[in-house]
Amino acid sequence: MSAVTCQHCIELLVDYLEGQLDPGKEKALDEHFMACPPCLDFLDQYRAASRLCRRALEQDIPPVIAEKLDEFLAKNCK
Amino acid sequence: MSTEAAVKLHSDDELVARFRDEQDHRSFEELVRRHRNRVYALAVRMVKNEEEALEIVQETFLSAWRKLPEFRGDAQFGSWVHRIAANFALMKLRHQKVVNQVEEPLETTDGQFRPDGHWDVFPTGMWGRRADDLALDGELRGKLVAAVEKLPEVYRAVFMLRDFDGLSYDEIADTLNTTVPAVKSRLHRARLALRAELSNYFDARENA
Repeated sequence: MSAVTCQHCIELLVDYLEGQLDPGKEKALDEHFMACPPCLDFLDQYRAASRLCRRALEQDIPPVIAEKLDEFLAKNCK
Repeated sequence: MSTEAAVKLHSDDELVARFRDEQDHRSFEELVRRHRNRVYALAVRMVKNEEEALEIVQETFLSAWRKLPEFRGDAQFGSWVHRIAANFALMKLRHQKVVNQVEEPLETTDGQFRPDGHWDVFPTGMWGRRADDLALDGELRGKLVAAVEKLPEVYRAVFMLRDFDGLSYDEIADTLNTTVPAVKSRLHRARLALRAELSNYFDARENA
């Protein structure tokens, strides 16, 4: 197991996933995830939670709301 | 090809230029048509109320109409209009005094680590690997939306602006009048809370 702890890996996830860690630290996390199945599971879940929520939140504006928006803009944007 | 059909072929940048330089109202209508779904989705999740979300969408596009002549394209039109919407949503929440700038505690992973930094309780479940293949049935979609709506406003705003709208950290920090490290910290805690919530849900579903 690498010198990086599980807790340290989890704390750095935002920058790790954005590729914003310095190369040495990124390599240390890569090695930790390869050697630590619980952290790899956690990483998968962390990414999945965000992606699933994004999919669930996609929605078209309801027709009745779109109609009111069109009326409002037609009246006010002249 | 009709003018209406032709306008749909233009990029956002071209539509902005046509509206700004030629006062082409059809170009603005097309920009509204393209962006109203995401602006509405952002608004309704921020304020959790359809009527108030409508007010935000109306004010957002009216503001865009008024300010577009000065828009110089430093940002994408989409990012720009989403920031306007986020500002209106935050103003509404602050007016209702529901935005608490003090960061509330969130159930995340705290307490799951031993003092030496290794897991005390291992995360379980394979759902993270199957997520892209999961069909969003009504129950799961409802659970996901409820999980986001359950986040305190300061976390929900950052999550929506970053993971739903894709704004940059600088744009979010500017919109929320905070720092980039604070944005990243809130985003991380929001994602941790969502993961914890979904983990409980999938564990219960797999053990049912």
